[in-house]
Formats: sequence, C-alpha cells, structure tokens
Amino acid sequence: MEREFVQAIEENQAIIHKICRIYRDRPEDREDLFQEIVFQCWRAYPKFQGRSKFSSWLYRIALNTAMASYRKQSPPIDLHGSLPDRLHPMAAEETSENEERLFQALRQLKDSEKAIVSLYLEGFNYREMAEITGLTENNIGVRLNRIKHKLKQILNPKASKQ
Amino acid sequence: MKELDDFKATWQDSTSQNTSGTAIQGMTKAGKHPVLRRLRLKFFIQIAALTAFLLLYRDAFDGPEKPLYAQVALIVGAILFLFNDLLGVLFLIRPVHGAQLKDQLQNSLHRMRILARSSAICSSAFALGVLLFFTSVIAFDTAKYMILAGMVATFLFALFFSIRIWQKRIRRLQNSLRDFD
Repeated sequence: MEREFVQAIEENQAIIHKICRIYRDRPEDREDLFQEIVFQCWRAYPKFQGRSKFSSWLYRIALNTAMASYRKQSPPIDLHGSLPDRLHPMAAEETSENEERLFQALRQLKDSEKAIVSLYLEGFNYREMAEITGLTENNIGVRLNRIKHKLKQILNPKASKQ
Repeated sequence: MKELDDFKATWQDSTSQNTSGTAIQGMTKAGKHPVLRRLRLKFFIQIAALTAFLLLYRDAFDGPEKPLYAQVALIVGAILFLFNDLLGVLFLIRPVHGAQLKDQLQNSLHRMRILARSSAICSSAFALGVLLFFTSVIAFDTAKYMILAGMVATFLFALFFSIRIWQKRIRRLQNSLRDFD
C-alpha cells in the first residue's frame, strides 16, 4: 500500500507544490507544508476507496491542510533590490515571469478564493468543484466571477480603474 | 470565464520542484514530521524534568511536608500538562474526516477549539499547581507578596498571548469556513 501511495503522490506532486506556492510565502514554509500534506494524505489513504479521482481526493486534503495548519507569521522580505539575481532565493525555483506574476496575484486572494480558483485552473468542472468543496455549482460560478474581477484588479490595477 | 481560462495553461504547466519518491516515502513517517518531531522532543524533556523533580521531591523540595492539597494540585497540574501535549500529537496523527472540503474545515475548526481550550486549562492548572506547592508553607511578607504578584502577572501575560494566538488561528479558519456556507 505504501509503494502505491508514494507512486500516486509522485505522479501528482505538482498539485501539492502549486498549493504550497499559493498558501505560503517562504520556501521553507512551503517545504514544511508539502511534508504536512503528504503526511496527512498518508494517514487518510487507508480510507481512500477510489470512489473519486485521486486528484480530487488529494486536492481536498491538501486544501484543508493548507488552510488549517499553523503558519509562521513573519513580514515578507523582498530582497529583489538588494541582492544580485543569482543569489535571490526565488532564482533557485527557475520560474517564468508570467508564472511568478500569476502565483503572486493568487497569493493575495483569501484562503477560500485560492481553493476555488486553484480547482478551476486545474481543469475541474463546476460539478466536480461542487463535489470537492461542498458549495453548489451556482455558488461556484458566482465566486469565480468575483475572483476573476479581483485578479484583474491585482494584475492590472491601472486598467481596472478605467 | 475567458480571462481565468487564459491562466489555465500557465497554472497547469507551472514549473515546480521535483520531490523524489524516496523523500516522499520518508514524509509518511511520524518521526520525520517537523511538528511531531518537536512535540516528541518537548514531551521527552518534560518527562525528564518531571522525573528529576520526583527524585528531588523529598529532599530538595520537602515534598511530604507540604499540605496534601498542594501535592495533589501539583500532580494533577503536571498530568494535565503532559495530557495537553499528547492531545496535540493525537490530533496531528489522526486524519481529519469529511466527504467534502467544507466538512473537513468544520472538523479542523472543532479540533482547533478543543486544543485552544485544553492549552489554556492545562497550562493554568500546571501553573497553579506549581504555585500552590512552593508557596503553601511560606510565611509571606511584603517583598514575597511582590514576588508572587510578579510571577502571577508573568504567567497571566503569557496566557493572554497564547489565547490571542489561538483566537487568531480560529478566527482565520472561521472566516474561510464562512466563505464555504
């Protein structure tokens, strides 16, 4: 059972990494959250009977863990201006500028909004999102619309004022 | 949802770290869990301190000469202090149940409230037990009352901050859960 679990997590680890990126600001906090999510999934795995997709089950546990677990409070320190690029902590993650802009914008949403938008971006339809979250499909549509406007304001603050 | 759809490709193709199967396998072990590891160390230190205290109970602390109520208060306080740590470990190890995210968040909130109350009650009981034990046979004068007042104030200060931290965590989760109603 452990080998099967490890293989499933390895194949779907991008989901966990993405959730860690939007729910935690610092790389060390993301590592801690990744570990916490894997541990919680392992403890819950014996009850996973395959009635839903593994990715749906994984999202449910990962999002609950991200929202409920303790996060260290520290002021975000941006060293962009003071360190050479090669020494900047983010440089190690080799992310494209577009990708980092998107994730930075997503980090500014509320926890519940992050959950809903991450499910949508992953490609789940409204019915699947409703099953995972417990919201109605109509509610999800309304919230996604609000999130869309909020992201527009975050990513293009000048354009959204016009 | 056209504009959000524009981000789908960026999200789904995002580059991320690759964690090896070996590392993932290690994460399933309680011994490698960062919080459980710290709790386990804290638990062992507390057991060692309490054991040392029991060994010195008769000679260094004149234990049997203290009133019965003070001895009972100390023992009960110490047991509750250890119980609180065990509760934290139990909640970390047992998975949060719930068919949907909303149910899991509700259960997480319920656990958080239990841990917050337990933390406040158990640390108060332990502090009271220690205080009663060491002050039960003291003849108090003004200076000693001042010292006692200082110790009580320090404890209340620490308790206040602990409760504030828990309230903040609970409020945050409550707000998230409200969004799922």
